[in-house]
Amino acid sequence: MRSYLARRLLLLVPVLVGVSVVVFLVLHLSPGDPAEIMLGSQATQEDLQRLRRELGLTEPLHVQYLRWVSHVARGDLGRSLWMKRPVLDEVLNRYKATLVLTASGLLLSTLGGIALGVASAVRPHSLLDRASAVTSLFGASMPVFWLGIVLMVIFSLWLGWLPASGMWAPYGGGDLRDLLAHLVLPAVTLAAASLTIIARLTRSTMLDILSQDYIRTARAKGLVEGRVVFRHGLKNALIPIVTVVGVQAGYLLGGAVLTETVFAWPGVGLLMVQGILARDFPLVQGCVLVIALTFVLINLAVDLLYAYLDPRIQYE
Amino acid sequence: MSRRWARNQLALLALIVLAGVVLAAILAPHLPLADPDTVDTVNRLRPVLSPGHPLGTDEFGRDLLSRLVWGARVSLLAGAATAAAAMLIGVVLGVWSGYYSGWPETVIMRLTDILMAFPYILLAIAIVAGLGPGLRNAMIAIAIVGFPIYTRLVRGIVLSVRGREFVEAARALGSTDRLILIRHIVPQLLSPVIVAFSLDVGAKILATAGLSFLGLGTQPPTADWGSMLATGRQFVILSPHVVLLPGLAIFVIVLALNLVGDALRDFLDPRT
Amino acid sequence: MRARRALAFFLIIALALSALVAPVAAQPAGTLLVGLVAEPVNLDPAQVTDLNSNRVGRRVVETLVTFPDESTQVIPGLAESWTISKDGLQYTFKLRSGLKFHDGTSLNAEAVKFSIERQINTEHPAYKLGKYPFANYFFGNVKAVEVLSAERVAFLLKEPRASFLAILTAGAASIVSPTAVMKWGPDYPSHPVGTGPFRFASWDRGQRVVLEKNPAYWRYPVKIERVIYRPIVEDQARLTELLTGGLDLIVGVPADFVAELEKNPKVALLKQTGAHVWYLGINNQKKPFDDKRVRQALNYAVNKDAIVRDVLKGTGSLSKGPVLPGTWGADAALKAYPYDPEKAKKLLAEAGYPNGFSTTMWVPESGSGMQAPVAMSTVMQSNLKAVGVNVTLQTMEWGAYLTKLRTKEQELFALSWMAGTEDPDMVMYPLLHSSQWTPVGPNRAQYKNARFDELLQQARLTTDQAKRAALYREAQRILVDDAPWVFVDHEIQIAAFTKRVQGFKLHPSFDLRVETISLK
Repeated sequence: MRSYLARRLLLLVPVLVGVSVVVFLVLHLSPGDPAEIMLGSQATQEDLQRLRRELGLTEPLHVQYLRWVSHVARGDLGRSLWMKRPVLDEVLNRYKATLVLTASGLLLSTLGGIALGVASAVRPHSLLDRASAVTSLFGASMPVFWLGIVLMVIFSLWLGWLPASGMWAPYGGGDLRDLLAHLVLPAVTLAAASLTIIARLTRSTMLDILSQDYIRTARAKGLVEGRVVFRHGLKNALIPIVTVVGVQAGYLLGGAVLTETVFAWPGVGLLMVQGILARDFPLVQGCVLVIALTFVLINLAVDLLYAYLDPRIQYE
Repeated sequence: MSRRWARNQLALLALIVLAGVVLAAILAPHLPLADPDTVDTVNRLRPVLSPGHPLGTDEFGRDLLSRLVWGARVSLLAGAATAAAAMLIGVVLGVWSGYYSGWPETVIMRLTDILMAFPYILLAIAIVAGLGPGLRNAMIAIAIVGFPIYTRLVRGIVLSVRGREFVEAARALGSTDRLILIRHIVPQLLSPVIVAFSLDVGAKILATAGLSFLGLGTQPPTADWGSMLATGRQFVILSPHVVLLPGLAIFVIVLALNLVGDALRDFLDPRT
Repeated sequence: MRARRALAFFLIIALALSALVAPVAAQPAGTLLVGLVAEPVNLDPAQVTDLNSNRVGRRVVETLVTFPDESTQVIPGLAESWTISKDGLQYTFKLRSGLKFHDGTSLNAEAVKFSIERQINTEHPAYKLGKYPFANYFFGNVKAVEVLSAERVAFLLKEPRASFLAILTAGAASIVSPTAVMKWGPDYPSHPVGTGPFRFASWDRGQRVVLEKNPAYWRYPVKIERVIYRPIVEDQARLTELLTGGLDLIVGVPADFVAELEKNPKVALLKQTGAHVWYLGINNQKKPFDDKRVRQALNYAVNKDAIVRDVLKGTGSLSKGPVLPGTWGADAALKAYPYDPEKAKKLLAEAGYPNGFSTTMWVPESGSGMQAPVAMSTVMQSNLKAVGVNVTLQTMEWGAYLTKLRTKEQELFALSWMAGTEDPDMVMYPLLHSSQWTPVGPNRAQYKNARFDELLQQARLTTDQAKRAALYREAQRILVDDAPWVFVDHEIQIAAFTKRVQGFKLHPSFDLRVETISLK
């Protein structure tokens, strides 16, 4: 097991390198020139050439890539072309905000999804089951930005209960209550679709398991129903559930972009999209690298969790 | 017994609705519908049940009923096709990497890692910017980034099943890998994969909406439910029907698919 | 039993959540909250190319000459007077005495020289500290900046150009504190220092930029203590914030919300036409558009009234040409092309296309000054179809769009231009002079007319406004006849603000001048 862990951590490097190469290529080979975008429709050829030279864009691709990699190895992610600020500062700053949002969304959707799924599986085809199926499906059929706007209109505009956007109040505020109040709408929006998938999967997996022989045996032995469901049932259902939660974590991280845009949440997703639209290469590369690292670590955690949950799973 | 009958009735209803929508989509050119692309700015944002426009008009004065039906063609095909493609690739890779350990597993999983770490928005922008705009190219991006969920799901299950006693027993009895896979492992996958797929189709349709929201995706005047949601979102307060109707359409499809998926699950697994 | 427990559970959650109910706190007196469409990029106007950043950055620094409220005529700014040499090659400015930058250092001719030369002189110590994208565009014609005395500075030009004064009103021409630039180095754009009505206080990335009042501002006392800029990309969110007290002022209200806002008693609206033009560009060198009749036909075929009325909902005013109506360079007698599809079909037939033809229209999804590009293009596509021209729309993302326009393969394309000033040279020359054909310059329509070129050149050489106006009027008449574009509209800026905001005026250069505001 320890050697497996060591191997996986070592493999981090080629994965990150792989991601960085792909990002680099995708960015540089896509049409769209950062100098052009900066200058807008007012640009003259001469201005463009000059700016490109200054930004280091006229050198061959591999030279640009190697230069960037050598900086990264030293912990320097370069300067944003668009904003002229160090990328690392910019990304880390925003990353905290995204993590807060994503973690909240994940917590909501996991706890809510599992709770709903178990409740539905225990009483299949009951009113609860039907109602939860329909409501959770609502969440799955509304796009994030749509749900966000609807929630904003209802809870901010019409009811005035919660702030419409941002992470903190523009003045005053700054405490936990302020953060939580701003967090509610975006986290719920983000969690909606995930909750459905987790709930449905939990339900179906639990249904399978609860119909198995060993469950009947446990019941026959006189164990309390709650114990049966949770100790024997849920624990075994966790493998596919954990997988999906892991994938959702990834999705939430990457998909937080739309939520961040709607609610003006100062996260890394929004930063990355704006960087992509401006072809701000160092910025986008920096963002992707940080996000990629998180993903890979989440996947590793999920894999380790498998082994913990099911001792029959062996890693060589 | 009556519960089972009611359940089946519901699933049947869902199947009928699904079939109806698909049929309407296929027959769209022959149905007596207004032209979905004609711009008539004088009649913009007419509410539901206006004369000549049973479901109202959008911000350009285009008939919403017609755009919904024509949009079904695009959205259903796109959603189903990409979900199916992602599922096929994902399941195959998941089984392979779950059953055979060693370098196939490592390569596949690391590749999956790379793909999952890669923000699909970036990929979508690159593909769209490179190949040209349009729904088709946007969906390629979505399909490519969409298979890892199946891979990881399937791999997890295969890993746990592979170690079980009956598999060891089968191997001891001399069963080939292929036989083991087909008879013992694949049946365990059906349930979760079907559930995932039935939700995935809706998710894929919504992914197009997300891309339209960011400014990539279908070209005007093409109608598709996703982009109708995206471009219509400004009217949530003013003329909600412009967004509610495509949203409802997606909801109906997702619901129907889920009910059918549940029924399929029940059918394939005689124990429940 | 279970149901009761579940109910209790939900009640507890509801109670907990209600503790979070946080209606917007009461505003501290004297703080203005402004909503921006996007996060500013940086706050040094010489290093910035987008409107948003300029709107914030220009509150901190000022220029030698400036515009008064609501007009784009040039008036004294940091310079109280100036003289122009007879040959038009030397502009000498006398600076106001006793002005200081926010960091206490003095405003003098050295500072002016520093601010401009850091952008164009490769040997300048501050040259490498930043990137100055528009240096050549604005100051390519400047040979040198000379310090004549502490308060007199001269600009020596390479060629006479009457629009030079207008150029000095641009953000890139703002005068910055040399001390601050050298102190902060490449990080200066995050800590700007100037002479403006507001001082830079702080910047929380993605959340807010805070500017504080400059108590020593020379022009007039500033009546607000603080301005907080909040970047909110999503239109609905910005609007909701305005209506719930999270913002006091927003500019760039989406067209469809205008009618609603007009009815809302909490909010007031201001409208003003800006120095801007939105057009459908035509590749004048590509068949069939090289035939003037085809281009005129397009102008007759497009229903501009419908676009302005139905898509823009009155946030645009009909355009007859690139020059902003009501300014000194405009020709009031210009006739717009009426909507006449029959005439369009006739012209097409005359040109040899009785059954129309097929073509492609490129449209960006968004972009500064583009208003509602896809919506407007969709209407045009429909208009053109009605006269037999089958248009395939290709929308693309802004970055890719600009690159594609350099390939000269465009046939029809939607674009706009923000002039920043009413001097017709700043809009007609770059966009329509034959020396500015893409990829060299922004004349993407590849338009060429020898007489037009000549008129523009002559108008550059004299500073007599009446003479220039006459030349530009003739030039505009040529444009109407040649129809190198389909002129659609000039954007009407709309600002929405709450009742506590007093004394706010829009500016046709699209700048956001909050220094005139007082709060009730």
